[in-house]
Amino acid sequence: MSSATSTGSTVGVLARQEIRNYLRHKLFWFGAALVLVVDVVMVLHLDDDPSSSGSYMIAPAALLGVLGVVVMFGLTRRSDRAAEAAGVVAVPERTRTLALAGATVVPFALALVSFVAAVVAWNVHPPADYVVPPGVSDTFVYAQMFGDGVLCAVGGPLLGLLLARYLPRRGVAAVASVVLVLVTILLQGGLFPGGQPYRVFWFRTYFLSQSIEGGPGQHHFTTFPGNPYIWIGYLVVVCALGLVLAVRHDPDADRATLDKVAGGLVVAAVALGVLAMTVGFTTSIVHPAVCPTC
Amino acid sequence: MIRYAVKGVPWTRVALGAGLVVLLIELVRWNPWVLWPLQGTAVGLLAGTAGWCFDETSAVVVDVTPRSLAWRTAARTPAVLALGLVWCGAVAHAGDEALFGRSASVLVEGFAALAAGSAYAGWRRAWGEPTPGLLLAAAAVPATAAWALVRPFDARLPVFPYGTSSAAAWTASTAGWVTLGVLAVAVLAAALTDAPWWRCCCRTCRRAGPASTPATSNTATCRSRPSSTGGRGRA
Repeated sequence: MSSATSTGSTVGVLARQEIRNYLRHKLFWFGAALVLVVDVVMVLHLDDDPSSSGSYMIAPAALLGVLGVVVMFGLTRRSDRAAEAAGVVAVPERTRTLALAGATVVPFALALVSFVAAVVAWNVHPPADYVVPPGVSDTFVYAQMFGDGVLCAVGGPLLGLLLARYLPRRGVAAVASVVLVLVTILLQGGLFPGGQPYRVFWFRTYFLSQSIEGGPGQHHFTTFPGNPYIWIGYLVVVCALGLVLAVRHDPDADRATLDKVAGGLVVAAVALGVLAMTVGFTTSIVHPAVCPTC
Repeated sequence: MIRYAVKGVPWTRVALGAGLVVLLIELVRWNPWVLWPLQGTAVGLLAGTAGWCFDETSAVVVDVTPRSLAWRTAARTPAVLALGLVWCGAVAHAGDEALFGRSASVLVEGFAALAAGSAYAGWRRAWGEPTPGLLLAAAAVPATAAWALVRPFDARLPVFPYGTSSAAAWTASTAGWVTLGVLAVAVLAAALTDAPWWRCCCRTCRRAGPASTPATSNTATCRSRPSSTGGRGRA
């Protein structure tokens, strides 16, 4: 009991320290400041966006998620350097990993605020008539917003933690951010005919956006195949898997148990990904009206 | 000089950056309307990779050798020139049509990014920081990628204009990038030539006191700092 209490309190103390470190990181300031300004612009509808806040959650995803990869990579490397300098390992790596993961509460909280702002903006300044195809509910859009914004803002730092554990080399975080953006754009949906249903296995994608067909002034808003509700579950499981793999890096961790947990999470992720592709929303719903501003 | 450049420049990382830049621009060429954020990402990557070229992991040893920082920077410059050539080739291959008829502006963005990355690295190296490029890349690459994705305040602050952006927005963007490039070249020149005003402009000097102050300990701190940290490292 004393051991468990001691470990728990150590994680808590370290997590609070890592939260402070995350809050002090200048790259987080940069992203957070831009997200908040974009929040204000969106809620006050200063940009007159006809799609309201439908595609807004790219802001927390990019400015908290992509930048979070680098922020968390840096914090993890700093934690490792401090541990190496200390010599004798007072705090095991898995405890520091859990504490670092606890710092993701910072981007999560800010992204959650942005999500609430986006929902408010969606209701206060509804989108134009040609944006939401018939039969598509508001909760469908909210699910996309939550997955694309809040969970990506958490997933980015967790990816940075994972990279720092397994690929602690110079420049890895910068290159990873480029690759992350590259793959995300290729899998945003609508790039290829058929709506790329397999894209739900990626960390970020769209379920409601503009069609690829036609040129400027000829696009329609459309849904892409995939169930955003189940996709949220998939993202949560992937985040949990990332955390388990990060903890598993510690040679002193109980790897047999962690392997079983990771295996279960992989099975769950694959199952949820397949379900997100096949349940409910298997075809695109195209809005009959043309988007005049696309 | 060539031997130093061969051993000093992190060629693997530079080649990786150049390869990614070509890949990003080729994807933009394939579908500019959808993949345009990759253009801004490529520009950020150029800045970060240019900074990498000047990282000196053995600064503690190298900075006290007779070769000046200007000599070492000149030796590493071919790597930046190679990046510039790669950028020219990628933009030329993409063609004017794929770049919304604005290939010249896109070219300027890349060159300004190269200059900015080099200037930042040169400036920080002059003050003894061994690997400023690594820090620059870690901040600038994801930040520009995120900016290119979100394009916040695009109507008023067109950093990476799009196909639907107005001619005025493209002109304003190009003017901004040219300004950045000119400022970067000035900063780099000041850092490498140890310009007299240079030491008085840095924050460290302001804290320690102006360089023109008559012989005091503050002046000594101001003038000796670069050498003591190995930045300029003249014999």
